[in-house]
Amino acid sequence: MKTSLICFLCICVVLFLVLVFRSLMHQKISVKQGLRWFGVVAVMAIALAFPGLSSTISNFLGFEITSNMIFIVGFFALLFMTYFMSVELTQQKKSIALLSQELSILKAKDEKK
Amino acid sequence: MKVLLIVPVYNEELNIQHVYESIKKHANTDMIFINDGSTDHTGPLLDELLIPHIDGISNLGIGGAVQTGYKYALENDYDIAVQFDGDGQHSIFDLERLIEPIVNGKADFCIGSRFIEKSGFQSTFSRRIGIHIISWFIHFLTGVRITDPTSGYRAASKEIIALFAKNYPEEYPEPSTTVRLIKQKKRIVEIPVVMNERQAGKSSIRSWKNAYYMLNVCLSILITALTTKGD
Repeated sequence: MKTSLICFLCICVVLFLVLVFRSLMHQKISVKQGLRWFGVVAVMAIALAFPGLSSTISNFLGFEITSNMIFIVGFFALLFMTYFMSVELTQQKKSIALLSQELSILKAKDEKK
Repeated sequence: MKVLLIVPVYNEELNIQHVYESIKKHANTDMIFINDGSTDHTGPLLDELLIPHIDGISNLGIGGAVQTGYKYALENDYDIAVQFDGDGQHSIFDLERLIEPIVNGKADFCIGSRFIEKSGFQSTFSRRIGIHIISWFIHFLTGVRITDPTSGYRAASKEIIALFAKNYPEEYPEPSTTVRLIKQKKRIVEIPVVMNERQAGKSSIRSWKNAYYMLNVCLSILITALTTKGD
């Protein structure tokens, strides 16, 4: 890998780390979610710090080139994350509906009095 | 027997007065309008006309609004709850015949079908095709023929009120709940009713021509059929 490319990727990882950290600080994401993203940052940082490591793993797993492995890993990681987010979204939608219904009924009762 | 009419309304400022007056004039039953977060003057009009109602604090869609009505019916110990559209499509004159099978103990759930006697407004061609596909699919999965599975004119017994108050689908509730009740071996009957074209305003269902919508409904029915266990 060229030094300029490594520098560019390092900057991207640091920026992403800052973004996750800031989101956590401003409570835009929960600690649980933040931890997941820190995990992603850690994997990216390790891959950048030890480029030989990803090549070794890629060879061991039988990928022809390392980038194929990275694409596959990235694809499945995002797929799972999106899936679990849609599960969470559905559960939250249900909770909101329940709260909304109960509150509406209570409000109507209160206004009746 | 205590009967409650559940009338879900969303942006029905042009219809609610007519619907309310027809119920008040021709039926001796309690009613509750569920204002599902309307953005027009439905809310203020309900207040002004002193119509018994619940103002939903947000728009939950038809499933959430109707379930609010069932929760209200359960809390207030009603024996029968009847869903009645707030757009003037349902005729109050069919109400007695609709609740009769439940009153007589012959059914747990009664659906008003516009396709038994085929009188009154029969819906648009594309929607009729959609309804027939859903009807066929329900028959295929359960062996029970429901002629009007999307009808929103339905009466539920006390037992069904409790079931619906606890669990009611947000999306495509009519066909899904019908399949659920069939699978739970509840007694379902259909009686002929006459439906009118909506009095004014626009229907919230605009995607009937959309194959994607049909796929969603069929998937929802399939999942309900596969996941519902009998009593």
